[in-house]
Amino acid sequence: MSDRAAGWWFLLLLSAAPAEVGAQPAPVWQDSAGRLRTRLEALRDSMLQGDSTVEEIERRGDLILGASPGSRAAAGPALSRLVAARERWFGGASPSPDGFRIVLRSAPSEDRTYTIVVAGLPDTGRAPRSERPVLRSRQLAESLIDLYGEMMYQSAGPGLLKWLDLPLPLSLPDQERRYLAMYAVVTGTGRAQRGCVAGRLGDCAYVLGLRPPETEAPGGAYGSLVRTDFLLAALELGGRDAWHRLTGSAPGPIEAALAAAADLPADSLLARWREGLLALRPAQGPLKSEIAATAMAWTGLLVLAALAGGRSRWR
Amino acid sequence: MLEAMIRIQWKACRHVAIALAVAAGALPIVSVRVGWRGAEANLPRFLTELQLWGFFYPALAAVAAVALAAVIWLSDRRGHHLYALLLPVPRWRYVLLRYLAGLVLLLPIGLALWLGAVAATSGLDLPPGIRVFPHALAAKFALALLLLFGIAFAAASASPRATGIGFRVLGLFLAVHVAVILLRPGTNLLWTVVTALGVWPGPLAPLGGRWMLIDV
Repeated sequence: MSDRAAGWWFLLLLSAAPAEVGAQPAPVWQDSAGRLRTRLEALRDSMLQGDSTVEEIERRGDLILGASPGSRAAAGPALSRLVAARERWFGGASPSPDGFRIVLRSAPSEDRTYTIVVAGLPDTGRAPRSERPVLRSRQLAESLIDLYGEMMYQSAGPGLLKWLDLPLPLSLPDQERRYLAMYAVVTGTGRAQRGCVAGRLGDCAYVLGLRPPETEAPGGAYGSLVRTDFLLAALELGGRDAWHRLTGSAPGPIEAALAAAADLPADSLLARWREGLLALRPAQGPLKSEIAATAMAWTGLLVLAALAGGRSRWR
Repeated sequence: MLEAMIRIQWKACRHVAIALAVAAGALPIVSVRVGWRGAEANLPRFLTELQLWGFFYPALAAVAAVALAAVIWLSDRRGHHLYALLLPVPRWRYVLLRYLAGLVLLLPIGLALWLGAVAATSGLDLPPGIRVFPHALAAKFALALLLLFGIAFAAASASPRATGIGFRVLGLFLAVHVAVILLRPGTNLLWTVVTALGVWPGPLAPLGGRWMLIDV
């Protein structure tokens, strides 16, 4: 086709086209832009999670729970236990001011069955974020509580973490934690440790790493097990706002922060914690009355059985 | 008649009873002395070791009970119970006399353990917060001894026919247990029975718990 013919064809097409193209109305444009943004966010989110099957299944206040299909059954109970533990120890506080998202993914492999991702919102990489593999569904709640507790301790600043060193898992049952702490306290062999057991609160403060020693050669201090127990005792005594008071008083001496958390003078806190631990010592020693009664009852029955065997004589 | 029975049984069992009493007296002393060196520097280790020594108390009670019950009935079994049949007393009274005489033989063993526990803890300079339980431990040992002697005595005094029936029932139970395990691997009858016997109010519950001479 010559250039001239092509020119004619171009003019013909121009005359056939509509005189003006209608502009897209603003609401429609906004709507399509919104939909595009939502799809982009979902795409970015699924890339971040590495799992496009994760869907939001529950919201409790500022906590959002997402789960992949294989972990949805276990997700609800785990969230309930986390909410209870969070309310008890942290009074609903969160390491991220804009809310929190928990994602449970089921991805069976050699070393894991589930993966827990706990992330502050917005999950852009700036908010705190942590991830943990979990082997069994019954460990989900404990792992979730432990992960959340670790993030809360980190959010309280370096002072608390340095003092705690290696805090105990938050999901450890109260009785177990308190018994371990009691055993560690009562069997401590340092001079100040013995002084604390004997009731000298200054020694208790030293062995907990709160104050300098009052005596020469005071010996060692208690480890993170006892310190975690002391922190949790302060939070328990302080009630719902204890965590807020603890973090609100930082940066400062850890003793003052713990006293503020418990809403008690430091010595009163130390005394109540010590008394509570020592009260856990076994009251009855190795012999319990119900066990003694059981032994006597069974012995009586056995003797009666031996005496009643007379009908068969000696054959 | 009880006095005569005690004399007869003492003659038959005195070597066993004396050996067991020596063992019972030595157990708390040895358990404390072995671990006491360095205990002031490491109390948790000392208490953990003492807890491990605690397994010997019910074991000693079991050995003592079975040994004494077996020796008490040995002469009767050897003589096919002729001595008992010649006596002008009903069987239940004869068994009761044997049992009471057996209890007298248990006394020195329990007493030796109590004295040993008191001796082991009397010279110790323990830090505040650590407590000693020589009397409670001795009482727990005596109860365990009494209970296990009751079991062993009842088994030893049973007639051969009753013993045979008991063994057959036990064998049948084990066979059923194996069959159930093969058919339903999640069901363990033997473990269920052992747990029922060992947990309160089962007859073996007094053997469990902590056998601590020194504790927090």
